[in-house]
Amino acid sequence: MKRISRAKPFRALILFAACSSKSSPPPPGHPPQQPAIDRAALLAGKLPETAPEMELVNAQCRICHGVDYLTQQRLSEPAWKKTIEKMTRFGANLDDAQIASLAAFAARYWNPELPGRTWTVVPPPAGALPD
Amino acid sequence: MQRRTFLQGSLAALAGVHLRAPTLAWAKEAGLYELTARPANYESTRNTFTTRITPLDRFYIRNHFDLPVGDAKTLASTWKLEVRGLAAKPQAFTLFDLTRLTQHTVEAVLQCAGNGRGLFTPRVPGVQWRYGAMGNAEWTGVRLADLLTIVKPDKAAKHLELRGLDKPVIEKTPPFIRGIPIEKALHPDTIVALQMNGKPLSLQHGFPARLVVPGWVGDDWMKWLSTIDLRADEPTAFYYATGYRFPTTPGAPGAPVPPEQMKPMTKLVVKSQLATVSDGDVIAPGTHELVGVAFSGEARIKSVDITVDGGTTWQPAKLEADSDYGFRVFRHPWEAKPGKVTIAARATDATGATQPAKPIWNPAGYLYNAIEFVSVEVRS
Repeated sequence: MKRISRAKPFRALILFAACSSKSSPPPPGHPPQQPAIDRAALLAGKLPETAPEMELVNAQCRICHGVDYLTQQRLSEPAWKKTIEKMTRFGANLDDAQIASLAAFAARYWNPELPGRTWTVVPPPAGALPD
Repeated sequence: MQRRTFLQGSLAALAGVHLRAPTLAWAKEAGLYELTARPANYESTRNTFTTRITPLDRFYIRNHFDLPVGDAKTLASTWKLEVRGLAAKPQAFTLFDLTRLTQHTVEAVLQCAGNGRGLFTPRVPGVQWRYGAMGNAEWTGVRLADLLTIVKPDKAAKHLELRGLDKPVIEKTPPFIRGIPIEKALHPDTIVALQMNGKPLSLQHGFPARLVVPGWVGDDWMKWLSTIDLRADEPTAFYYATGYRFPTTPGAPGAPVPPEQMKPMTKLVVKSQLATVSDGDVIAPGTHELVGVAFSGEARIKSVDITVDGGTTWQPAKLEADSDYGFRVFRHPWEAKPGKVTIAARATDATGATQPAKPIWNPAGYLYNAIEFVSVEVRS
């Protein structure tokens, strides 16, 4: 954590996987396997790829939509739980324990304390323009 | 990943017919913010809003699901619009049928109901649109009233249920179904559009046909419009009966709203958008022009007032040409003197409705139209 907090901006954009492998142990109260929080990476829409919950994200959420839906939300844990429960009504196959686990995971990273996502301008996507 | 690769491959296959492959040149000249790549949700940049008509390459894109399957050439030849239900002569119209009917052009703002969702406090879930999920275009097509004249609706037909060709990935996910009342359907400005700004609709904007419901929220403007069901009662589908609803009496920010106190959204609300300044800008002293656009639902814009002192005093902006449902461009000269300055625009429509100082909070983050205060620093 100390190392990350001292990182210069461009270094802070390194993916979570890289950050977590070089980080000090997480603070008390968090499961030891959780990757460290890198604020700049979160703002840029990066994912904590090594978090165990990412397996569920990849298996369930990504069937219908990209993970950019996840990384731009700023919700409390109860709000995340409500949103994930809605997704189960839309077809996500998650049991209660998995819902709770995903809500806690999402709220740890993408909560109201985190400022809004940074965005970059891109060309119009395929199909945006007529012939 | 396999599915994504397949999707990209499918889209690439369309390129020869209807898609233009992105190039780096676009990034320099224009472009959009990619809020979600799949499904495609792209927001216009702030500096887009200096013109009455929004250029196609800067026009926002909103989708609930992946694009309909099929290339444009196939869609053009196989697509049909089925108008059925409570009607004496239900009929399926081909694209050729529609091109042979009288064409009408309507200028109107298309705005996602969730434009500004990302600005609400407390935060609400959904695509975090800020200011760019809106645009103004000239839409050309067939009056929906003309199609209804052909199919002869029963007197009992009071609502139209609308469906497009897009489909959710999972069967359990509710399809995107919306509805409008027959009165709005019969309005001469409600059209089944085949063109946008004089060009055929692009696939992302609903080729071959989308509904245009001037003055109403974008979720009624069904893309790839394929079925219209005339019915006596309101649709019961999720995105009408549960989704896209607004509180009848807005409550405190963050407070839950019982379902029985929610109603379907219809008209847009009065709004303005500054295009030439944004929060945190550093501006050189001297003469500048503040430019932006204003619009309302079914009313013309009467005035736009500008403050450059944080709301203490307001001056009327100069307004360009207006229209029933389009953007009205406003301009205001500003002599910038060194220091910190808070700028805002406030629009008022012909009914007297004006932008509120605080957003009207609602659980899904719809219809944001609060006055935007932009803080800049003027220095050499």
